[in-house]
Amino acid sequence: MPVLLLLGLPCAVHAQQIQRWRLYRTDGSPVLLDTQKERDEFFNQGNCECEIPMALEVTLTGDYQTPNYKFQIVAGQACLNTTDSTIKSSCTVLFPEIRYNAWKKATWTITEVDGAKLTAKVLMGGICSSQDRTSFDIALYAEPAGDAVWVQDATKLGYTVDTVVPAQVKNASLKAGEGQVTISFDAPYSTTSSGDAGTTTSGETDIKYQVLCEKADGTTAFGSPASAGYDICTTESSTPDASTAADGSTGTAAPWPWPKPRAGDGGSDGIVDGPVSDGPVADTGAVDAGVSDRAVADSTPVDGGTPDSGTSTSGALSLNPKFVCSDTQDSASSIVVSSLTNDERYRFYMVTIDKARNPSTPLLVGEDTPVLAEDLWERYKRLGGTAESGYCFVATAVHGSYDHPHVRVLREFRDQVLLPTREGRLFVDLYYATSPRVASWLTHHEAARHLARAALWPVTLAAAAHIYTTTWHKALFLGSLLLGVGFILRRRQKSARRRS
Amino acid sequence: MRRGGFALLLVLLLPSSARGQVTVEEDYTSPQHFLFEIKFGPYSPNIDSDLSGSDTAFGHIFGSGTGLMVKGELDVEIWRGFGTLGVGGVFGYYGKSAAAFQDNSAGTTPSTSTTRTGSDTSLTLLPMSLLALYRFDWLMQRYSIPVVPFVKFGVNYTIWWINIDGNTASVNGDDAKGGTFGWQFNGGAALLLDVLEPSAAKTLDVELGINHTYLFFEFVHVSSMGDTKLNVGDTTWNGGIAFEF
Repeated sequence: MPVLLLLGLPCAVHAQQIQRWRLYRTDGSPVLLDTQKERDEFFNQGNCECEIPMALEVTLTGDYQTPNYKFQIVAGQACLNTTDSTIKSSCTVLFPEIRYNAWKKATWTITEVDGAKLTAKVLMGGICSSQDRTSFDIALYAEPAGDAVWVQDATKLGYTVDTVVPAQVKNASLKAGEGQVTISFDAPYSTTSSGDAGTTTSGETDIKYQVLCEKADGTTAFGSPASAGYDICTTESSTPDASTAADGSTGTAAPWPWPKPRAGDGGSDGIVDGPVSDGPVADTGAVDAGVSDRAVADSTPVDGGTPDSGTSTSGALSLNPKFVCSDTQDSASSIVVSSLTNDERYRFYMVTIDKARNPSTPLLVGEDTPVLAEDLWERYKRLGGTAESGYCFVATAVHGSYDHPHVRVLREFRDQVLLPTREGRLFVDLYYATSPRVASWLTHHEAARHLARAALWPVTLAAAAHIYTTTWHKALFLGSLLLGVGFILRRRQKSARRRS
Repeated sequence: MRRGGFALLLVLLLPSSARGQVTVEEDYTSPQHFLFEIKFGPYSPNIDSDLSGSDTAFGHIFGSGTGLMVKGELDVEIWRGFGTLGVGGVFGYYGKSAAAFQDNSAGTTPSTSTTRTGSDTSLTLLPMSLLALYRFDWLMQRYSIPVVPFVKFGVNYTIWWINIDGNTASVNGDDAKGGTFGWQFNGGAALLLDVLEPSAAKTLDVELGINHTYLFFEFVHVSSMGDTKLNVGDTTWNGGIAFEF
């Protein structure tokens, strides 16, 4: 009851009140976060390392110029102490204090002053997906009189932290090839037939899949992914917040997407507990400068998977990007891990990552060894096949040297313009297949060679113009050409009219 | 049943606004200059004929089964009298892939392993042909006999490449891609479908300018030329549908 009384006070005790406040995401164009679903999605995609810009718009009524009037924005649950009207330490003050598990920075920006209204925006950084809270309210508190008595002055805007770990993939299996291993698997959830292709029966949406791997002897972590998980930020916050969070943990950030190690965690969620050596995997050696990154063997059994050749280990890698050895993939079918060394044994795990960036416990798929494979061409050649692929440039024959400047231009055109496209490659293939005969014939016919050289001039010129000019140059040239053609046509039209 | 199905096909091909309101003059036929064929058939390139001995490369990797060749052909009819003479251009596609065998050789001798790996090796052919053709459609025109025998002869050029895991295969810097010249002969017969539903065929002619529609079957012999070119020829057959317009 005292709480209710207190909540009812603000309008009565100070001259201004918050008429409206709204949250926006500002990564790109501002998007209003009005609904619970929008806020859930937005906040759950934030993380401790990335600064995700967000704006808060507050519209005041009344005498907003009162000097002692202050705001603070607090995230948490029931954050106002009913006894002394202070903010509970269990809550996270998003503005103006910067705390661990809080916004990285906050800057008020007055965007509108309209009569008795003041609209302001505050830019804030990313918020950690707290593992020990399942819901937040963001509330705006006011201190009308500068007497450290705070009152809630606006409707709470809540959001829910998604802490549900997605299930592991099903029926995962390995197949080694030349310098690569293919991991085939089924999705952990079946997709609903409602027409929403990304929605699964579990409620998880937009599941992604990724492979972790290491050498089977545990000596080397593996991984140089082009991307890791959902929109991972490439730069960490330049001003990491090391202040103490409400739960007493420190602000040592673990690389995303893997959750921060927490002392005393039993490993039930696959989060690393620190160096361990009691699992059949973990005792094979330290990883990464003597520090084992493996977790206790707590992963769930291989769900229909077929770990290869006698691998009975059930240990899981720590969820660490340095073990990531594939890009994320949206669809469940198979992932090819390439750039592996033949005859080297590797161990493979799979993780699923949900839209809120929660990774599943890594699933140990098994071990396999990439091997040399004999392709059709190799076998054909080894059996005495005499077919050759011709490589001879007409231009080389015409100009007499592979290093002739004109030949260089055409080579650059081939490499920069033709080869990057499928159609271009087709053309190059066709050219390579036909040019040897032409080139051979040209070398024996002097007159034809001169003619071909002349014919190649405009081709070379066009190629040079294409690769050595900017888009503006090309637009200017094309515009001039069109103008010129238009001018000539117009003159001819006029002249024809006169004749008629 | 078949007559009904064909009628349905013709009706579906027509613009909806045109259905049911076509008035056809009895003797009207639209101009006829071209024939387009879409055809399919089994194909197995004679790559192994380049090799001496009983060991095979294509057969070893892909087995005895054939792949599917898909082709499109556009003919220009340049003379019509006692039959039709014309020229045609053909483009096709053939692709076959299989898991490569493990390589247990020292690098120069063929592998003896029978274990398939997770690596895919594939052969792709893009055949192009230029053909002279004769269609004996005089009996069809004169006596409405709905069978048109035909022969075609010409040159072909096939672009080919061999991949391993999506990359061009290579041996000592010799990349597995190139082109092979050759000649080919086609001979077969086409069944005139117009006789099954003459009124629908007439409508098709009036509305879309398609004079005749055929189902056809042809025997094909493709021969590659050159000792240092991959032999991608085969003797096989095609079946398909043709539209004369």
